[in-house]
Amino acid sequence: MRIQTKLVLSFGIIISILCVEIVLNQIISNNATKTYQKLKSEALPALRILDSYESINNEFYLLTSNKVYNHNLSLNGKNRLSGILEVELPYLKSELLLLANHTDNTDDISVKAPQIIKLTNELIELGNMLNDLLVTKDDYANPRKLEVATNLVEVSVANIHNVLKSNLLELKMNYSDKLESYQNEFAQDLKSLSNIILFTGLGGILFGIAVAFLVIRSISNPIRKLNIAAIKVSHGDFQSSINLEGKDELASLGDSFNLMTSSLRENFQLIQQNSEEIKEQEERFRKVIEASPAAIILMNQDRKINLVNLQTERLFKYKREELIGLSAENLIPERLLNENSTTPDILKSNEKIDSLGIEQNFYGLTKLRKEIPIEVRLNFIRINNEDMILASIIDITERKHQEAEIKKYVDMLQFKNKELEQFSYITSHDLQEPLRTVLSFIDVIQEDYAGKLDKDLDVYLKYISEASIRMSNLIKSLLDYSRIGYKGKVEKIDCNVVLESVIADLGYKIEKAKAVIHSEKLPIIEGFNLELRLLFQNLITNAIKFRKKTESPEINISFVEKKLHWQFSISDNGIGIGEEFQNKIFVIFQRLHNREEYEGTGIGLSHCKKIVELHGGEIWVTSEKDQGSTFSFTIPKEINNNKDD
Amino acid sequence: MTFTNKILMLLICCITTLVSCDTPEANEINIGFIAPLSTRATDLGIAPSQAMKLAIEQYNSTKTEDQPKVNLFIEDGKWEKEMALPAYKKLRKEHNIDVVFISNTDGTIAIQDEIEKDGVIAINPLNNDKLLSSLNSNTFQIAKSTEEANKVVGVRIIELGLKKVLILQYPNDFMKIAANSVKDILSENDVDNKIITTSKDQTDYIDILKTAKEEGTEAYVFFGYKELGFAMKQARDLEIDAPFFGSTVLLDPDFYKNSDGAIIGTECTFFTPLDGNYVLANEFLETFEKRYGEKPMSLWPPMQAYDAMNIVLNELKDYNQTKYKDVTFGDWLKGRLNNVKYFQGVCGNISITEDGSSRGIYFSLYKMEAEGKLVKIKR
Repeated sequence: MRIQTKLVLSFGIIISILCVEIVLNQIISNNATKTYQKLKSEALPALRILDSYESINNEFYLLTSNKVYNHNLSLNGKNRLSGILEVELPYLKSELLLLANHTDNTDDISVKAPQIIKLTNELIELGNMLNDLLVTKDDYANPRKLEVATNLVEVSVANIHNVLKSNLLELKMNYSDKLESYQNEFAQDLKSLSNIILFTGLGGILFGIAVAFLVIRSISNPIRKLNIAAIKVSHGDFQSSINLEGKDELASLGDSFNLMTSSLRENFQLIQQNSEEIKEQEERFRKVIEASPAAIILMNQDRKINLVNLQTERLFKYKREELIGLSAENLIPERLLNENSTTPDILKSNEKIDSLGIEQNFYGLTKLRKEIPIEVRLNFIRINNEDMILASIIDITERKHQEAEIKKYVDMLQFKNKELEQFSYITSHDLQEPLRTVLSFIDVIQEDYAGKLDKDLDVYLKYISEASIRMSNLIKSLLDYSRIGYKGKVEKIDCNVVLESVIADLGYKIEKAKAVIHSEKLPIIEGFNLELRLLFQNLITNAIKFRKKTESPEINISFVEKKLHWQFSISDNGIGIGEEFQNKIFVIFQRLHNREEYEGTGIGLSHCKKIVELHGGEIWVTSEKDQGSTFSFTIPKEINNNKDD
Repeated sequence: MTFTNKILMLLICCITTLVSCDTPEANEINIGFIAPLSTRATDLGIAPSQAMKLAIEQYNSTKTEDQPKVNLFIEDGKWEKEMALPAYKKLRKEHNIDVVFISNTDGTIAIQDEIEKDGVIAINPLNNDKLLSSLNSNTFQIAKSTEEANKVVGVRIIELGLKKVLILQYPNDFMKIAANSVKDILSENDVDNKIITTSKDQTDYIDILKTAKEEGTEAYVFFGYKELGFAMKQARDLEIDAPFFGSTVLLDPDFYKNSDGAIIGTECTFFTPLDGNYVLANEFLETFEKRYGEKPMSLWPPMQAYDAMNIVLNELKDYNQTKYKDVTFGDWLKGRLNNVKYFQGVCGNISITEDGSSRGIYFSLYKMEAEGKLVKIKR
């Protein structure tokens, strides 16, 4: 049986006992109340009135006797007699009458009340007569008056007094018996009440104790067993189990306990396995840290060092035991820890990964107070519920030296390039002037001495003129090359407008070659306007120029938007470029064909390369011999407009 | 009409009927007291009014919520018959009193018509005589019997064997009744006696006294107020050494003052705690002293007034529970007072008879030993 059922059943029985007790109590209490009411409203008032009556009757008799026999009766006595006659006896009469009216006609007091009232009236009349008879001393001196008065008292008053007294006594005895009877009845009711309370109370208590004992035993035994088993489990004995009989909640609890210990046993084994694995991992971790070429420091949120490796000892010249517990701030120069430095903030932040010295100079401080350039990578990790900082430190002294060297060479190279560009510009510009002079004089000679010179000289002059023109073109091309990006500025450029302009300018060539140009809608990009126009012009011109003789040129212009740049492609169906020549075509004045076959200076693709590089992009070709070519170039979305670089 | 509406209407009718059947509850009842607070017989006015106040304070402080509060309003009647009616009308007009206490017999008679017309109950807390008992049924006397009290003086004169008596009587009903009650008993016992009615403010009694002395008068009865103090002095000045007798008002301080001490030795009827319920009377006097700082000079007037007021209050406390719709307050109280058969007061056990007079207060014989001091005569 379940404990809940046991308890409900037990309390139900106890409540039933209490209900029976309440009902019995009510019945007996009602009886007792009725008895008490009778006692209070009948017996006691009757006895009270009868007592008063008897007392007044006696007092009256004494006072009247005294009045007759004592002519010096005090005024107090006389007044008291008057009080009895005028107040007390009339009051008692009315009370008696009232009581008689409220009781049964058969009741003693109802039967005797008329006679008592009659006797009282007679007494009052006799008293008044006596008072009128004996007023002054002279009245006492009057034998006739005194005799009448004495007779009144000794005969009439005494007689009535005795009859009244015997009536009152009889009534008193009756009512005393009644009172006793009521009292006995009342006492019996109270006793019955008390007995019921006692026996039902005792029964209830005994039953309650028995129930409590059984229930407590049925609860405490299993709990004790559970407790013992729980203590065993708490001491690590996961093999212990208990066997609780029955089908109550505690038996169910025992089963659950066994399940729990079984589960605990499995979990404990799992924990042990995990613990060993953790130990192994920790060991591996230590070895990894020790084997790391970088110095590694593990510190807590207060920057107190918990763990270091051998490299740390070597780098900072501290012994391991000196470093453990030391604040990591001791390994940083004071100037880097001041208010304007970001170092303290980085150390305090809870960012998962941060670094010090990657893009700026950062230094460590050795035990010998020497600063060393370092690069620190911070990892914020959580170990045993504590936020920790793992610092990986690399000594970059050597790299700093190398970087300084490289920078020196780069600067030198940039300077030389500038000089070379300046030289080219000046050279090509200055060389045009003597060439123009040579060409002018050749024109003058050919015009002024036409027919006057021998044929060989004409041929030689013609060669000189052609060579000079070619040289002038070369110089011009070189000048153009050096001028690329010279005065330009970065602006928004609609490539569609640029392409239309180029196609318009090349209209003659396109028409003559019957070329077909296909283009998708091109983007608006940032760049140098004139240079980009030249780039498109050169590439389209090349596609037309290096066409197959057997078919009309077909040119496709397309683009792809990448994350950081635009990639344009201009493909043709021309003669293509052999793989062995593809790395030569962007070299200045590099020609793959003789001038007779394809005119030109051989600087066009160099221009293209320079223009693309001016924008920070790349240019390349994909081609096969006789299979056409595709020139691709990229233009970054953001142009660095620093021409000095 | 729907069934629900019918039920609702029925319920409203029932409630209305029940409410209309109920008589309004009296929250306050006003009582007036026409008392001699100045001029004459102030011992019959000041201390009794204080005793009444005390009784009302005790009642109001212990009453339950459903018992009516009682208020007392006092007017000075100066112990004059003529003052009674105006004082009564004033109390009625200003305070709408339902009960009036009045200690002057003449005054009680003077307001008879008005109280009957107004349905007001009049209670005389000092005097109780056959004349008052014959008045209308709204009048009650909760006091000693004037005739019986003064008859004691006559009996005393007879006991002392004095054969010629002069009774000087103040011109009012009370003193007239007192004088006649003495005269009756004296005459019945063949004692020569004569009543001379004095004037109201008379101070010269020498001629009367000389005549009486010459006639061999053996006892002098002074039934009047402070003016008769002069008569006592003048008598002693005339070397009249016959015993003096007085009424219940000898303790008026002006009486002693006017007599210039000649009042010492005068016998009179009086009432002290020894004559009533000793325990309750002493308790009352102690409370009185606590409340007012001193005991009353003359004990019986406040004791009787206290009992009279308490008898009324004892009935009033049941008013809201026992009143009937068609019965006026006056009729209700009249019925209740007529049924007082036994009231244990400070003056003794008191009952009220059908004619409105009370029984149970009995005076004794006292003798003045010093100013303000009376001792009971043992005989």
